[in-house]
Amino acid sequence: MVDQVLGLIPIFGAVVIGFSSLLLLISSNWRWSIVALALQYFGALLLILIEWRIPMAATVVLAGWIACFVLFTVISSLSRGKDDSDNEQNSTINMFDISSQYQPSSAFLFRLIAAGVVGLAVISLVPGLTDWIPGITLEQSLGGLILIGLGLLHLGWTANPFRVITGLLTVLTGFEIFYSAVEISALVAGLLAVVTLGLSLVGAYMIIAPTLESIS
Amino acid sequence: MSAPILWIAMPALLSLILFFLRERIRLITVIGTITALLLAVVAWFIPFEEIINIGPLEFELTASYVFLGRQFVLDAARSSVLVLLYGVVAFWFAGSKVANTNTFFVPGGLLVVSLLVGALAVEPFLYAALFIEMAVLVSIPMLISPGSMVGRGILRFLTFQTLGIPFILFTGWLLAGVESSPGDSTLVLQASILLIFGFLFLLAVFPFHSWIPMLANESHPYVAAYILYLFPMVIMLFGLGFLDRYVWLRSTPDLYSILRFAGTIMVIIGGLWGAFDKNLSRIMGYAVMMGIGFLLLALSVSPVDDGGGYMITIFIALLIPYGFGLGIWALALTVLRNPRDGELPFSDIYVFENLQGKANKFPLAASSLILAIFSSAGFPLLAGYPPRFALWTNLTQQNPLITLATLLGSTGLIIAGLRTFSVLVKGLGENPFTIMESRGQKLLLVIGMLLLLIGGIVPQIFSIPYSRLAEIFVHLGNN
Repeated sequence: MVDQVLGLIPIFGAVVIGFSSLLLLISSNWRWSIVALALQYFGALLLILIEWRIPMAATVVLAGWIACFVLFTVISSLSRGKDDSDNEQNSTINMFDISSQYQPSSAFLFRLIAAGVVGLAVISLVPGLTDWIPGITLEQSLGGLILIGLGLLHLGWTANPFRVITGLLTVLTGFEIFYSAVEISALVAGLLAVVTLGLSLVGAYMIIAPTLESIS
Repeated sequence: MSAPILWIAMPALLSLILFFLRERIRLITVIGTITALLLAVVAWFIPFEEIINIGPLEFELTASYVFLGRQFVLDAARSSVLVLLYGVVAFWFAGSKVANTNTFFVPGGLLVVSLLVGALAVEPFLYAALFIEMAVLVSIPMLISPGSMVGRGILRFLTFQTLGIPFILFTGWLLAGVESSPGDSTLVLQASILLIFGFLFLLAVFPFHSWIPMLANESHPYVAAYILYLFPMVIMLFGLGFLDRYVWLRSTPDLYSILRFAGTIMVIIGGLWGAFDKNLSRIMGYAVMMGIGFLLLALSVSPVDDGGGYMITIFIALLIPYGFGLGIWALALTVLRNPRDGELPFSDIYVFENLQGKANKFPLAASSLILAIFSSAGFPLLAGYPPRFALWTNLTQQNPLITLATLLGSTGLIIAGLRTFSVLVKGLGENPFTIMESRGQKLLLVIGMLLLLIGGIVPQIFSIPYSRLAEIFVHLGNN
C-alpha cells in the first residue's frame, strides 16, 4: 500500500508541473505567476527525489521558493505605491500587473493552443529521451520537457523582465530534473541553487532599476 | 599561500569591500586598477610551487585549492591567462573614472573577472559553465543604468547565456561516456551537437547574435565593451580547453569547417550591418561580432594540417589588438558624450545626427575613434592589421573564398569608419576650434592612439606578455 502511494508521487509531481507551468504561461496577474512558480518547484522536488536524497533535493525547492519570495517582495513593494497619483512606480508596476487591463479571449485561447502544441511535441519526445538518458523515468522526462518547452515558449513572446526571469527559472528547473538523473553532486546542486537565487536577484534589480535615482 | 585564493577569492572579497565604498568613485577606481595590475604583475613574475623569500617573509604559491570536494587549479602554465585577464581589467579600470561609468563597474568588474578565473581554474572543467553564468548575473547590474528601463539586448544577453549553460553541463556528462568508449559514434555525435549549441549560445554566434549590437546600444559603451570583450575571450579559452583535452574532438575535420563557416558568417554580418548602421554604439557591437568571427576563424586553422602552434599563436595575436581597439573605441564614445546628453538614453546619444561636427570640440576623441574603427577593421599600419594579415594569408591557402568574404566584412567596417569621419568633421570650419577633453581624457586617448599606431608597425608589443599563453594548451600549442 505504502509502495503504491510512493509510486504515485512522481506522477503527482508531473501533474503539478504541467498545471503550474500552464498557469504561469496564461496568467496575467503577477501574484498568480509567483504562486505557479512556487508550485512548479514543489513538483520538481517530487521528481528530483527519485534520484537525489532529501537534503540535496531540498536545495532546489528552497532556492526556488526563496527566488519566488524575492520577486514577490520586490513587486509588492512597488505595488504599495501604485495608488499614489503621478508616481513613477505606477508605470513600472503596470508592466507586471496587467490583470486589470482588457485582454481579448483570443489571446487566452492562443496561449492555450500554443501550450497544447508544445504539449504534443513533449509527448512525442519523451520516449526518445528515456532512451537517450539512461536511468531517467517517464515522469521525469515528461516533467522536465514540459518545463523546458513551456519555459522557452514563455521566453519567446515576452520582453518583460519579470516574465523573462520566470521563463528562465522554468527552463532551468526542467534542466535540473534531467540533470538529477545523471549527476549526483552536492557542488552542482549548490551552484545551481546559487544560479537560481542569482537570477531572482538580477530579476529584482531589473524590476526596480527604472525607479532608482539616476547617478550620472 | 594558494594561487586560487590569491587570484579568485581575494579579488572577489575585495569587490565586496569596494561595493560598499562605491560612492567614492576615485578611490575605488585607484584601488581596483592597482589591485588588477598587481595581480597581473605577480602572475607574470612570481614562480609557482617554489619557495619565495621576500625579506623575512617566506611563502610558496601552491597551484591548487580544494573547495567542496572540487579542485581549483592555477599552475604556472595558466599564469599567462592571469596576466591577460587582470591586465585587461587594469586597462579598463584605469579609464573608468574618465569614462564616467556607473558605480557598480569597478566592484562588479572585479567580481566578474574573479568568477571567470574560477571558471578557467575549476576541475572538473564542466563546472566552468556555472561560474560563467554567475559572472553573467553579476554583470547585469553593471549594464543597467539606475533610472532606466531594461532593454531587450540585456534581456537577450541574460537569456542566451543562461540557455547555453545546460548544453555545456550535459556535454560534460556525455564526454565522460565518450572517454570511456571513444568508438561509440552515436555518443560522440550527441556530445558534439550539444557542445556546438552550447558555444553558439555563449559566443553569440549567428543566429544568436542579435543581442550584441542591442546591448552595445542600451548600456554605457565602456561597460558594454568590457563585457563584450571579456566574456567571448574567456569562453573561447574555455573552448580551447575542450579542443586540447579531447583527441576525438580536435581530430574531427568537420569541426574546423563549422568554425570556419560560423566565423565567416559573423565577419560578413558584422561588417555589412555595420556599414549601413547610423549609430556608433551599435556599430561597435557589429565590430565585436566581427572580432568574434575572426577569433573563430583563427581557431579554424586546423591543428591536423598545421601542427597546432599556428592556431594558438594567431588567436593570441588577434586577441590583444582587438581588445585594445575596442577599449579605445568605447572610451572615445564616452568622451564624445556631452554633459547635456546625460538626459538622453544611450540609444539616442550616438546616432550620427547627434554627433555632427563633434571633431571641432573633441578632436582627440574623434581621431582615436576613427583609428579604433579602422584598427578593428584590420586597416594597414594599425594594430589590428598584422594578425589579420597573417590569418588572411593562412585562410587563402585553405579557401580563397573565405578570405574574400572576410575582406568584404572588413571593408564594411571601413565604410562605417569613413561615414563616421564625415559626420564628425561636418561643418568643421563654421565654429571656433576648441579642445574640450579633460586632462585625463587627453592623456588616455593620446596613449591609445600611439599604441594603435605603434602596434601596427611593431606588432610584438602586444603579444610578448602573452607568448606563454600557448603553454596551457599542451596538445594544441606545443605540437
